[in-house]
Amino acid sequence: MWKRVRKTWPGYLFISPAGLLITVFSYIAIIFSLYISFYQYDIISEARPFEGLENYTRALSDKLVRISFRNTFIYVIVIVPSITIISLMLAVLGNQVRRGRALFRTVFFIPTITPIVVTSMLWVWLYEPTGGINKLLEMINIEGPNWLFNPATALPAIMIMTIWGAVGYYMIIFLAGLAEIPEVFYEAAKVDGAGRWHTFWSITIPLLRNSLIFAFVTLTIAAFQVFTQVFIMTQGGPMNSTQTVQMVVYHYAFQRFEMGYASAISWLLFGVIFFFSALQLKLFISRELY
Amino acid sequence: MTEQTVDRPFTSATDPAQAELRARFKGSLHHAVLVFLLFLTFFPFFIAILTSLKSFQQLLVNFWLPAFPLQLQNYVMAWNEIYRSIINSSLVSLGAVTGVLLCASLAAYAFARIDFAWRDAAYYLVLSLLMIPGVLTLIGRYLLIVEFGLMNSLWGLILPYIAGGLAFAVFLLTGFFSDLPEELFEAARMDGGTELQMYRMIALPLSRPIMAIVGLLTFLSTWGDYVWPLLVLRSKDKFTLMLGLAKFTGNSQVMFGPLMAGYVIASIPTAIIIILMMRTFAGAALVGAFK
Repeated sequence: MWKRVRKTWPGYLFISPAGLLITVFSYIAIIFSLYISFYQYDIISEARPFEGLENYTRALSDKLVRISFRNTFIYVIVIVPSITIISLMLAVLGNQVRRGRALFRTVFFIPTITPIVVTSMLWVWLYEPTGGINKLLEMINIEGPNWLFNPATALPAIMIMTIWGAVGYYMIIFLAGLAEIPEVFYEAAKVDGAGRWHTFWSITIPLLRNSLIFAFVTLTIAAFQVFTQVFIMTQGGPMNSTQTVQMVVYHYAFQRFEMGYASAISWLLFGVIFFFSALQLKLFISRELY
Repeated sequence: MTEQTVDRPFTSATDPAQAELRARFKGSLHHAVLVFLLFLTFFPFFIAILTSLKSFQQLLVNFWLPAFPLQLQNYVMAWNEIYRSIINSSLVSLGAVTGVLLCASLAAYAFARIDFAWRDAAYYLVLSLLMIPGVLTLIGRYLLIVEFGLMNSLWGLILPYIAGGLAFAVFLLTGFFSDLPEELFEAARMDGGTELQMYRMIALPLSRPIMAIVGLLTFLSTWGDYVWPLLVLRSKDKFTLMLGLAKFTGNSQVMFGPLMAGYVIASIPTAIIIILMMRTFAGAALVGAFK
């Protein structure tokens, strides 16, 4: 054992910078947040009484937390399938484009690569009562709502912006997946007289399985933690209609300095995310498609 | 692919001329749909660029079309407002990219090519962080930054950024380094080369393309981040670009021209990146998904 260590000590040296940073800023940070979720913990006061599961039971009966979980669920349920379907559609359409391929990909990719702060602020301006969106709707004789100030339309407005911003990225993922499908399969299907729709369902979808799993799982994890666009566009309003879990965590942790309570909420959110990613992986992986 | 039997009779048109016509119609329909979607995608940027060149009066008179004379001073105004924050953002991103590349490539080299005790355990401890959503580290990292006295300091951003980017970078680079053929290292080892020499002379030069991808991903995520600067930075001279822009927006209710000019300026670095690296980036997305 010691002989081996002596011979391989550079290994430990090599991993030490990364190991140190990860230990401190990831592992200790996570354990710390678990620890304080059992305490009444704020930065200012010295008294930090142990509370057991008090923070967790409080969260379960907190109306703001319940609203935020409901909004977040709605957000996830709409966003994840929409982005997957639209980006898949774009990829399949884009794959058939012969001229201007690079332009096509670049334009769809621009929203993805533009910082979310910029796109959010841009859309706040576009969503104004007499802003770009409503002017566009006016042209086809639709009177647009006051998007971000109406509780009925604020969350949909944020979802539309997010879908617009994300489809380009997943389109690239799907295009890369499509490029890996051997042309022979399509030729065989053609010889067999299979229609386009049939080909799509029995060749394209099963062979894109890895990309689809990747898209679904990463999208779900990200969507559950939505924060920046909401913070910039609506601050959770109007009337809490866009309050998301991450917004509520921010509110309790950094505006009311109830760090312990906010940690408990974030562990609840982690539980939900973990449950759904595990469920998705199990569903996708157990099902033999081909 | 067992299910590929004919369960559908021949439906394709038998008349070649008609088939050709139908294919053409379908082609142009596709193009129409695509052009429409391209329009929807680019519309916000189009309007932003147009507006960035207009005065408020010009905007009121005409929303949709460019107005002359072009108001280039909007860009001067925006630049004066945000140049300081651009410098800060560049420092932060540069620090994070350098840190991630250096720490991750060293660790990945060790995981891939040095057989030390507890190696696999250490590797899985790093990898398991890929499953941890950011919400769990947020409050803990914040309290650590306060504890270390890094509040209102750019280091308070750079260190968590490096830690946050490491797991994925180590994962990618370890895969790459393990795929390198052992013969490359054999000769150097015979000549008594140390691990550090082999890392520097063999592994690093070969990994340039994948390092570019890792650097690019780190740059994008740190350049556009909003949450950490919001929590850590207090004084205006420390603000990063995203924070500076948000502040700028708050200050100027009617100055849409300079505001949009600011958005355009803020998007330039990332826009340059896509134009230069579209191909690499498609590779990055792919590698990220399946490696």
